[in-house]
Amino acid sequence: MTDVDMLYSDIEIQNLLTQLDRPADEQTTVSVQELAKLQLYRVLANNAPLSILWKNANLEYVWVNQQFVEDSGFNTPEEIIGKTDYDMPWTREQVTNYRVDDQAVIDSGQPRLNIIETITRSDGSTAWLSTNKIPIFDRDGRSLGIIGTYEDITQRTQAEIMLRRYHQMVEMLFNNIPAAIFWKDRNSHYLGCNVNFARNAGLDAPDAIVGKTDYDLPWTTEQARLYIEDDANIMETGVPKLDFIEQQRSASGETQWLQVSKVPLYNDYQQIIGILGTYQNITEQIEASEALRRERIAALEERQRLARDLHDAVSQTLWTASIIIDTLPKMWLQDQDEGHKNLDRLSRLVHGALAEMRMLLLELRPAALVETGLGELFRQLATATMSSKPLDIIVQIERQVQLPPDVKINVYRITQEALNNVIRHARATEVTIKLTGDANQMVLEIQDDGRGFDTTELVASRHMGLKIMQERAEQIHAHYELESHPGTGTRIRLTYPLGKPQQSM
Amino acid sequence: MENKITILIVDDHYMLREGLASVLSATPEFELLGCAANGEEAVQMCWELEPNVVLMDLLMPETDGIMAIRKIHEAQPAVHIIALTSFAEPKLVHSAMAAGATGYLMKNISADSLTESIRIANKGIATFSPEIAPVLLQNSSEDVMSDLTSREQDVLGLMLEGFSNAEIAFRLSISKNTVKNHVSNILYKLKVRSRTEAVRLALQHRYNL
Repeated sequence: MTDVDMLYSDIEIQNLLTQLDRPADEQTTVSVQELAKLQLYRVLANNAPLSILWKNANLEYVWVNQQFVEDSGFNTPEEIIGKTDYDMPWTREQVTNYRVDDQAVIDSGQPRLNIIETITRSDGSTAWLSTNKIPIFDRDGRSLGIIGTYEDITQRTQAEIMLRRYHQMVEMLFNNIPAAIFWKDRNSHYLGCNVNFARNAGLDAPDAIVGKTDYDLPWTTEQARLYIEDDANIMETGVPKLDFIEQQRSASGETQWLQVSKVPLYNDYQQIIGILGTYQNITEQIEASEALRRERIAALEERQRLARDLHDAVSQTLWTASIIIDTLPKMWLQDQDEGHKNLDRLSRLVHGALAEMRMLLLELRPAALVETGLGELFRQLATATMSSKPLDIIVQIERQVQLPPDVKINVYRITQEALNNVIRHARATEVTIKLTGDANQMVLEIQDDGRGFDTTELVASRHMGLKIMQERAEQIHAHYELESHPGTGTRIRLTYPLGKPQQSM
Repeated sequence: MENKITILIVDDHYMLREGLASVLSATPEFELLGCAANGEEAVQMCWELEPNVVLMDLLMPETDGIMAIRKIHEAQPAVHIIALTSFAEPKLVHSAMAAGATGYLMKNISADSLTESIRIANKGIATFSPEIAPVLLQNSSEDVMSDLTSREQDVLGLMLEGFSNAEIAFRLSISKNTVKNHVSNILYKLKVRSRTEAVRLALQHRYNL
């Protein structure tokens, strides 16, 4: 900065500028060298994508470049010389701002750089400017005013605003979508993550992830090893791994099911430099489907157990019949009475086996249970039970009504359970199952002639069966009553209201 | 008669007890001492009546047949107990034999064979229904399976579902190599050479084939 910084007085510069526009032979007072230099500056000044101006200490324009001329709406630089900002198309406010800044630069002798301000041009358009103002002095240190340059940054500003908005949107998206997002370098060291991921990892903020590996995070060692093994595979092959399911122990210690996608990250030279991963927590869905599966298995097991019990019952009944038949000829010869008794037995066994077979089919095909009438179900149950138990079961159907399927099944199950309880505990010889009622209600009564019990003192095993019946009754909003006293047998009475469904409490 | 074979019937099926009693009474050399309807009654009556042979149903409510066999066998080793049941699951067969049963008969046996089996058992000789033999020869695959650790059982379970090592690794959240190790341990313990053989064996075990 030697020659370029050469300073001229006001007069000298006016001279030089005047001479520049004269023919070469008349240029007497300045050297050719200096003229060439000035020529250069002028070319630069008029072709730079900048507006350049020089104001003297009175803030009058001394010199401006072509760009400035265009902004101001005048035709030549000469028209502007000697004018002030008040003569320009700028707004009042702009004029004030410019002049305040100008004065401050002159007074302080310090430049002001990158002032962001607006300008309103002669054509009425407003632009954003980045302005620099530099004070200039003559050899004696007197102020020659300021040199100002400004650049139209309207487009740049708009691009910046767009970029900032885009960034904000990405960040918002990044931290508000339900997915967790993370990225790692070539060695599976974390480079960043979103808020969701940080939360899962038990970190206060996403920044805390930088530099960590999976071993530093709450996942189990086994899980960390699996994740890193996957990363390495993907980075080695360049093949993304999408929508796979794996487990993760979160910071709260819960094991979660994740649906994960990992893709390799490339640099500008198509080299793989890391990995980007996203995942969603699908624990709830998985657990829901697991629960459904468990339910199905439980239902299947229940059916298998029923089928097995019934199979056991049928085979025993038929086997008993078969060995009686094997022995009957011999028996007949030895003791005709015993022979007759066994013929009765055979009849009961074979009928029982048939009833048990039908019940087996009913249990294996629940739809059949719905299709069969309650009276028929009770008769099957009685016949089947009597083939293996020393018990007379009397079924009285005085009124049979149409019941919703779930109600019918529950009524049947309650009867089954009641009969089971009689067999297990009552030591009864006779049970009556009675179905009565009227237009408003269905009444089921199961009465035995067994030993009865004190309803205030229930043993655990009996309690269980009673509870099952009560729960089933509640399920269908039926009224359930149990009456028993030691020595007088037990009576169960179930009342189901017909017509309008009863309001549940 | 001095030489009569005394018998106790244990079964929760009332008509079966009655019918079986009648059938046995047709053979003069048998003397029925009584009928019990469950395991507990059986142990009690056996102690009081000291029968030569007990015909024992296995699946009964409350004290089941296996438990009753064990108790009777411990208290009265001279009593010959024949398990009489409609099930041939290996687990049940092995448990009954381990508890001290002399024989294992299926409830499809003819009256004559049953009569003969009671005579044989009375001499202390083992007696089995034909379908029990393969189960006895199977050398208790139960034990082989119980050698597996719970993790190995998990892996075997997933192998049964048809999952590959990679899929098993995902399901159990372990590495593929760890799965490989588990699989080779399973093959070693089950004494089989291939994955398929292991699966076949496991299926047999699961469904008692």
